[in-house]
Amino acid sequence: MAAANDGDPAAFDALYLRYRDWVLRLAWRFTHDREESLDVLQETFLYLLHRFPGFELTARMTTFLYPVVRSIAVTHHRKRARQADSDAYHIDDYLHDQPEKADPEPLRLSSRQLDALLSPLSDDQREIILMRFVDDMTPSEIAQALNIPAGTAKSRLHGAIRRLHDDPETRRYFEQ
Amino acid sequence: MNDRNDNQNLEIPPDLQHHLQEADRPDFTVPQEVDAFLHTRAAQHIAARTTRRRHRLRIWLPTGLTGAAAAIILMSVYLGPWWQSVNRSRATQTAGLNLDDPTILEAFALARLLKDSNDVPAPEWDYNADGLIDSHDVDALAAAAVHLENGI
Repeated sequence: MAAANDGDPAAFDALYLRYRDWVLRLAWRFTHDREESLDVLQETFLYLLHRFPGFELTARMTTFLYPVVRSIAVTHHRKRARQADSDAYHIDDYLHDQPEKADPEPLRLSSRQLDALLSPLSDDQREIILMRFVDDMTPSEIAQALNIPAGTAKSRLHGAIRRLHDDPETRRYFEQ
Repeated sequence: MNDRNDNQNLEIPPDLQHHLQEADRPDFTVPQEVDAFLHTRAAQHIAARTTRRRHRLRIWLPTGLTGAAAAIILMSVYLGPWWQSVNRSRATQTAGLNLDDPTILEAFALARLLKDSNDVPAPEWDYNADGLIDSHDVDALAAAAVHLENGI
């Protein structure tokens, strides 16, 4: 970090290589689209790059990057939804038959395989389970990344684990 | 560490965790073009910042040095006479006359004061008490310093 702040391009490359795959995984989790994931990855690292020099990291890098990736992914997702809406509008306008615009599709947090495993959970619970058990973030780090109280993060996590424990699909893991 | 220990009850079975990690993974990797793009952008950004910093130094360093030199010259021009007068008045005050036991140094101080300074000497310098501070006072002081009686 110090080397990157001192203007060493190799230091930034090292940071990129260290967190690239994690950022890609996260971007994929939010967008579930190859091109969008790569766009989110690029924008995330460009954002990080422009924090140098003078960047002071006060938490783990993943804790810092998580809300950045999330925010960029949400923005991309909304843009894409607006674009789809706009295309639909032109067609409907042409046909003089304008239906009410639907809400943009909510941000997807997981793939089909994950859907099967995490089907009993709400989006908030899915997110926190993945942060904890895939991204290896502690409840405090989760709280910091999501900007929620630590107690809320813990109770949300607790509730999610209880649901997984009680759900017929995932109960077998707990019975082994 | 404590945080991790405090949350041992917030765990899931290792198999479930492993399956989550396997499922939450894109089936593609980052293309080399993206790596290359970000590598180039990083090099450009850092080079631009370094050039900007050097440019700033190239402009501000000579400007700063010139400014400092000008400030020193101005201070010496404007404050020099003031400083001299302070020194002079300090001389007139600190070399105060000791009426009980004057020394030849005080005679020299009064002579220099009368010769070099435009300031009016302090009334104490009127050693012969004739109402004037002049060379007679210098003579009187010198005579007193060597313990000679006036007129000898």
